[in-house]
Amino acid sequence: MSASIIRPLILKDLYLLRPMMIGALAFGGFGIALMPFGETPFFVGWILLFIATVLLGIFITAVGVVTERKDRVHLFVLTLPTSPAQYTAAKLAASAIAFLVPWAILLSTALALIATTGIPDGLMPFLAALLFYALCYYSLYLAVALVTDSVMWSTLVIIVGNTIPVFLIPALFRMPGVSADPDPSGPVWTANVLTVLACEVAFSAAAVGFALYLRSRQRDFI
Amino acid sequence: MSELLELDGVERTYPFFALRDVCLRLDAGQIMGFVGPNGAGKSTTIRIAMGLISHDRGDVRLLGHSMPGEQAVAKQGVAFVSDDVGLYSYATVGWHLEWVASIFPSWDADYASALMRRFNLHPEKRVKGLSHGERVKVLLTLALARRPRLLVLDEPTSGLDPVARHEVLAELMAVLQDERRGILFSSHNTQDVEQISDRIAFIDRGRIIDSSDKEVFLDRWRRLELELPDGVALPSLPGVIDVDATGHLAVATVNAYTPDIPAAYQCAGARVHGVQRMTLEEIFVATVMTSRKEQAQ
Amino acid sequence: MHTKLTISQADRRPMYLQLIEQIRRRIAVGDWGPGQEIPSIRALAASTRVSVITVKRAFLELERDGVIVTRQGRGTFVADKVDLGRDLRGQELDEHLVAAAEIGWDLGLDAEALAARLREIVERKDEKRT
Repeated sequence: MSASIIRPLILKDLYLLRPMMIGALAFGGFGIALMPFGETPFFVGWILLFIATVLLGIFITAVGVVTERKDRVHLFVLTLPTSPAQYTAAKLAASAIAFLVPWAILLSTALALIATTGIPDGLMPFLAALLFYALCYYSLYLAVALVTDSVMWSTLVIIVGNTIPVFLIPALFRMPGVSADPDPSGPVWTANVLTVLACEVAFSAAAVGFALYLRSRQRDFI
Repeated sequence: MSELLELDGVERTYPFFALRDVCLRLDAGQIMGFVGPNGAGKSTTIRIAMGLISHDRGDVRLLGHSMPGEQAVAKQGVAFVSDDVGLYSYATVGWHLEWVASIFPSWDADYASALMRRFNLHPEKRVKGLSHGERVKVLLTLALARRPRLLVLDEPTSGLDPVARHEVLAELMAVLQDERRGILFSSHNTQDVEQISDRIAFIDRGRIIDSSDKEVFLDRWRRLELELPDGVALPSLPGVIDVDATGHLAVATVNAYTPDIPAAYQCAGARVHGVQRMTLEEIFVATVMTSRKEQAQ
Repeated sequence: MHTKLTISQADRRPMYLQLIEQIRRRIAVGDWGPGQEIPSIRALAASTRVSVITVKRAFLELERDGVIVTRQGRGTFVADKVDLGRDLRGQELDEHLVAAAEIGWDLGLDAEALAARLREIVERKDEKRT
């Protein structure tokens, strides 16, 4: 019977997060659609796509975790046949699905678009690294939200998260494999790029993992 | 199994507050009223019973299940209402009813509709637009319509107007028609507690300072109005916990009343002008004052 | 069957005494006839919004006084006694007099002082009526 409460919890969260998922797909999809039409449209397109995934991560966490705790709805969920551990597991699962599904759709669509149209292939690793950064940002914000109510910490995460791209994006352009050259001479998916992607995934997992560890040590569900 | 809730020697320490040796027992077919000043530990105790807070020492059993480990199973038969529990702001009342109904096979849809009507609630209204009292009524509806074996309520009537309170008390008493069910509720409204409780427990500063059947409480306590002619000194009697004497008049507060007590005062030369029963509120305040005096010594 | 009993919050007497009086009154006026089944303790508790333990206490005393009878597994019934109405009112008067005597004793009044007080009150009431 304990497993059967997790499904309704996840489905309920997905139902409440539906608007954000659809919004991200629409917004990001529009950005992707712009990309094949030249340099400037591509530029606008990837910015929209990037913003869409970043906002998706922020809204999912803000609505699904932060507001739920601020409005004390998490206490309501705990009046149901569930434990704090089950609640966290369901919350994490729903949050991950709500982010990763639209994110994966957008990423694969964008990469497929680049691979099949005249857009330089060297931009694939760029877009991938960028969207994996959005994954990092989401993971960090989620991790902080799972552990603390503090507005200070979440604001800090948002400030840092919004500042890093300023340095990250130019750095990504300078990586081997990444270029706007329509006729790349070497492989696009270089070791550097793959390392960057791997680091981003590792960071995301570590942030959330650490948050779960801290949360498991909390004694009071309040 | 006749014990719906059992706390045995429960302890929990915080930096500025501690629960010490808390023992509570609720049997099936009973309502227990839990009374205490603000900050006494009522909410902490209730949350420990529900598994939301873990305890340092002692045993907690909810419907026979060990808490907090088995809380998911235990809560299939336990509903909890507290006025600080929130609902999804942008969802409707009706959505909440449907969602909770989908989780509990024991959900009584007809009863839920009847409660909505009685509490004057509209299913299409969004939670955001509800007043505090309306939100509490929705929480009560969600709890009652599940037909749980045990209802745990933390200040269920706070913020409710007298009409709503009247309706809520009626619904709570209706629950007790089934002698397998029970209710634990904490309240500042000592009049409500006095009226519907079978058992009453007083808590102050993290300790249960008294716990008994309600009728026993009301029978044990009296206030004696005495007149002391010049030169008469009152003997100290067992069961008399306080004597407030000014001038020729005195008021004796008794927590173990027998007719021997006024007789003894009369023998000592005092005149007994009145023997008053005490309301639960008066009993509660006197109990707390006595307990604090004893703790200070 | 009329099950409505009323407990007044303004009435300072103990709730179980109020219940006893209300039940006796129902029987005295004939709403609950001899041998008739009366609501169960829990049903009465729910309808009057008074705790089960208080209703139980009232039932215990009424049973002790022979006003009601509990038949195991079958329910609670008004006692089969002829002329219960008048008898009951007489018993009610006795109950009140016992209570008055107890308070009088607490206050240190003896039988004569109590009787004098009663006479005073009755005479005052008679005056008001005329």
